[in-house]
Amino acid sequence: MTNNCRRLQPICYTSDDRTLVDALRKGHVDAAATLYDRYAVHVRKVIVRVMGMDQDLPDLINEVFYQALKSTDAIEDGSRLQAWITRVAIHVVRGCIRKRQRKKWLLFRPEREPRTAGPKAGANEESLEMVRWVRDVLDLMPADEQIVFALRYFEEMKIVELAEACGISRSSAKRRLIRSEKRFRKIAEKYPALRQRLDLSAKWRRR
Amino acid sequence: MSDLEAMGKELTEVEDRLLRDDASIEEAREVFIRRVAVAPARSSDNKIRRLVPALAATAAVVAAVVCTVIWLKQPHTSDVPVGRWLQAPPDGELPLEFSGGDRVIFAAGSRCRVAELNDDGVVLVLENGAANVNVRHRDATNWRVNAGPYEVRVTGTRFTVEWRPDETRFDLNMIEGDVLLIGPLVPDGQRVAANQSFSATISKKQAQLFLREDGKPELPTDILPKREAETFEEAKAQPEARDVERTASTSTVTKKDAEPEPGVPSSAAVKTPSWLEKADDGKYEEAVGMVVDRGMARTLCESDAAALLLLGDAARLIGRLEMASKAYRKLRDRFPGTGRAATAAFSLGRMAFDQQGNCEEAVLWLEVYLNEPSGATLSREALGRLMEAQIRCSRTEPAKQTARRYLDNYTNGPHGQRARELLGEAGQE
Repeated sequence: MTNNCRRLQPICYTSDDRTLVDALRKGHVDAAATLYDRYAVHVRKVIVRVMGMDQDLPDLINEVFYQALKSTDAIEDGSRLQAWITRVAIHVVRGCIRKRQRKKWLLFRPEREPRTAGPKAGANEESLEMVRWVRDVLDLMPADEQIVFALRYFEEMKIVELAEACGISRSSAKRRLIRSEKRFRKIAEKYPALRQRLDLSAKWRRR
Repeated sequence: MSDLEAMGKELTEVEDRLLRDDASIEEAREVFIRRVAVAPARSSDNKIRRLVPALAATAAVVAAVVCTVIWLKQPHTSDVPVGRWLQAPPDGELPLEFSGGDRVIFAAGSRCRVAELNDDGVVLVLENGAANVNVRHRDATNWRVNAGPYEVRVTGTRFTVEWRPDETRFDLNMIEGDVLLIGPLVPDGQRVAANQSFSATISKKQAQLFLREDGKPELPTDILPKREAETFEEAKAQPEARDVERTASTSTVTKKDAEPEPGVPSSAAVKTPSWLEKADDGKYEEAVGMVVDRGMARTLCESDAAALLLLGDAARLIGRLEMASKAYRKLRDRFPGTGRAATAAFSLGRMAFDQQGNCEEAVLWLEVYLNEPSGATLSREALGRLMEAQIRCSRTEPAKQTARRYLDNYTNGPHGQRARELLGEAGQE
């Protein structure tokens, strides 16, 4: 009769990420919520770094965790759960950016609307203006370049981390980063406010 | 620091300040938990979805049918999804084996659900049919079987349980150990020991506890393991002996009616509508149907507290949760401060937790119940469920407070071990 029985295995996952991964794979009733509570702040930060304060931020966070839950079999090292969920977040963000860019191209209208900053945010108007310009420039860049640029200069990732987050080799990450810097500077030249801040010197113009 | 790094630093400072007022994590959490609860996202689902575009619609349907047939025929070792309804095949049993050696076999056609699966126990819901339960004895366990309106609290035992909602009939046959039974006609709990049987027909308001002299249960043999089934076949061949067992009852619990709520007109004092008779007879589907025909709003306004509670229970038992919620809430609106209003709060909490998977709402209603002066009868159960719901909602601190409160009042209660574990973990941290 034992062979004809289905086995239920309650497991404890409150300790480390490895145990949590086991719980996720076995569909433990509370594992999804634990994953969310453990990494929601990190995921939000990654999304905001790449896309800014986006009106669809809750949907994107939700989607990242849903996608993560669907792909738990792909986790190779349970102890590196944060790196893995960062990769899922980047994957979701890339898909979202590409989708918006396609829509923008097809409908000839800007898709992205920033979430309201509000006066209580504590930032001065000049800084907010700068953020808007930077985000506008990034919106004009291809999704992959936008991501590496944001992760490098906003999230301050090293090349190794950046490569892992994007799922590419280190040399590809380096090349992509250089390309994105050049493109950013080139587009930023058209924005007087940004041009003042950035060192758009002859060195970059020559390149 | 390069110009780009300086720009990045300034940007992140601004956006980090904006994030302080951002509530997207809380917004997304609610949606995510609901989404996962409705359609659990598993890797296997993803793989299947990836294959679907590659298959023609007809082939997919055929494959699904074939897979289902094979699944039913072959042995399984996969996990049972917690929270999903399971149905034993019409011509076979549904066996479940849990780690630690606990085993439950559901009879053919039975409908059931693993409502909870914890380190220290399991909560099974038997909606319809019969089950043979074999739980190994442990010092602390939180094993429960909810069969219809009855709850069987298990410490380590073997028994068979049966619930027939159409007849509102509940049967419990103990083989080994003992259990605590809570439910209609035994609201304060009834200890049922080895070789005893408990039988209740709620519609007739009759319950019996009796001793079986030879200790053999008399439930349908098809729910039992092969070896034991043969034994019961032998027992079935001796009907006279079974009659003798029936007469050897040690005690009888019979309640004619529930005690009227102080200050609330009893159901006998007002004209009894026909739906009440149907509900009293356990014909919940018909009763609820008649309420709908008669007009829900009218019924909610005209019925007394007992009738509203009955309507809520009837609707809850047949899965009309929206209607049950309306009845319970109306009862609380119209008869605040009464014992039945408190019971309605408990039922709302229990329904939200067990049947709707809405732990936030469960927490709300269980707290309401516990804060009402008249809500003392089920306070142990309410505290235990409240703690579970808070854990489920990831409200660790309130859960610890509830655990402390539980242990202060019910040190050896069924949730005691869980509460200690929760507080023990806090101590280690």
